[in-house]
Amino acid sequence: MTAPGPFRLDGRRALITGASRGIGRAIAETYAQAGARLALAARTSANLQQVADNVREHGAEVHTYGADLTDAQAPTRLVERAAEALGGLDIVVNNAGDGGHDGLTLDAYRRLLHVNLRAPVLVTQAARPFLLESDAPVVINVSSVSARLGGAEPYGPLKAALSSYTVGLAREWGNDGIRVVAIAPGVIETDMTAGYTDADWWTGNLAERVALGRNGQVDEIAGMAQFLASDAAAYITGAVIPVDGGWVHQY
Amino acid sequence: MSPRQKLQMPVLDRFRLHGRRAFVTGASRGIGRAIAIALAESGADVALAARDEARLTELAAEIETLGRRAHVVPLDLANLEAIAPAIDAAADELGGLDLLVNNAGVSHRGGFEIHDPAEFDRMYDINLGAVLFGCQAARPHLAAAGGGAIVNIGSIAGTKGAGLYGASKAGVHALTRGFSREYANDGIRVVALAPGQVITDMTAHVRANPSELNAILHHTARGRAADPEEIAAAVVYLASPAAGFVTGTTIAIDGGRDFFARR
Repeated sequence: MTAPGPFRLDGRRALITGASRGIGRAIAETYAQAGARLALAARTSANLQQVADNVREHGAEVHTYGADLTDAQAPTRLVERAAEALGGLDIVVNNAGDGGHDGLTLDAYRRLLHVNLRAPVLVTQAARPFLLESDAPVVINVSSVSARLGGAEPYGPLKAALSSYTVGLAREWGNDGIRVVAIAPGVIETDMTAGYTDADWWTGNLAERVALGRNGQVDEIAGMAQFLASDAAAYITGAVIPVDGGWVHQY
Repeated sequence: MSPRQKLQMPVLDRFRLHGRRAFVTGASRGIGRAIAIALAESGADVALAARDEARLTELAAEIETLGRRAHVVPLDLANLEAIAPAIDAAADELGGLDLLVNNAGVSHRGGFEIHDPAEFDRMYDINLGAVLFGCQAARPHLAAAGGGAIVNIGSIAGTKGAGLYGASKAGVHALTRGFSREYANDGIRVVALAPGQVITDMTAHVRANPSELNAILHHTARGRAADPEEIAAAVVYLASPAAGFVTGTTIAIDGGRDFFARR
């Protein structure tokens, strides 16, 4: 065990959605190493079991839940089951999301609305009574650089909505001591971005778009998620923090 | 007309919309109604879309007295599948389309909470989905007319973080940026306005609650709410050749909402 410090999460009870792959998985593994107790949710439970096995190797307590968060009832049910298993909740990470590249049908729009926005809102409001009982409550929403860049498809605008919700809710819940923050990742190498991170049009544009000139790795998001959940970030709320390698304007 | 020719026009002529053809959603009341009238006064023919056909018919008559054509489009903007056919039909009726104003919107009384998922879906369908599908439907008509503009009505709630309503408007601002990129090669400009507190039916509940209204005005430099006409004037500008270099951006018309209280 590492020495205790302001970045540790020993004994903290964390719910993480979209935990079977990519950024969610990295956050789960990082939280486990930081001493947290975990409830992990994902749509498909096969990968989730593997993640659970990995984090148990760090000695972490972990509970897993298969949940399709596009279902209107699923988010509330998930939170209640997770809080019961962990005996409460200190950290909620709304990570599950979908970029959506199926063309813009009405059905696709609805699914993206539900997974990227409605689900985190429902998870967060269901978690409120448990967070009110916590000594160090925090909600972390995983937004996207797309919120700032905008988009002619639903993903970016829905992430902009999630960022806006984060800022407003921080004000609303500040008096209760509940922190609400968001991380806005840039292009991170995951299954979701696998379709273009190696493509010529993107690698050719990296230097122009991203100050650091490279894609991000999931651990680089997980580190921010650990910091934001920890006591080191106790005075941070209502912030949407870019972790994007520097998406700065050309000038 | 080339941009250079436009610039050679006297400045006030650059604000005119003579013969332009506009489609305005949420036109029966409030800001949308003021926009429709302002566009007609500036010389445009206007398709009026909203649920309330009786109000639209009255408004159409008023617009016709201004010497412009009006086309009534009974439409529930939550019915996303009906938007493209309605825009196509209006373009047929008016002989083309130069301007789409996505104004229709509904507030959300639940603040940050979803009490009823169906109600949440309806609010997002009207405030965000209808903008998305409206832009898509209007694009070929605007492109065929040589460009034109899309003006989306966002909200200062979207830039300050204010409930799930504000979040939906943040989405509108992000869509505006995205579509401005996507449609630029067709010569289409896409812009958004972010009104502050405006005196409409939608905000009647705010005025009915003096402490809520005062809290807002306390942080508004102008110290008052806006008339819908003050938003409509900006739409005329953004739709006109005078705004030929404005795209992708969201312009606040909020009386100076600030972190700090009014002195």
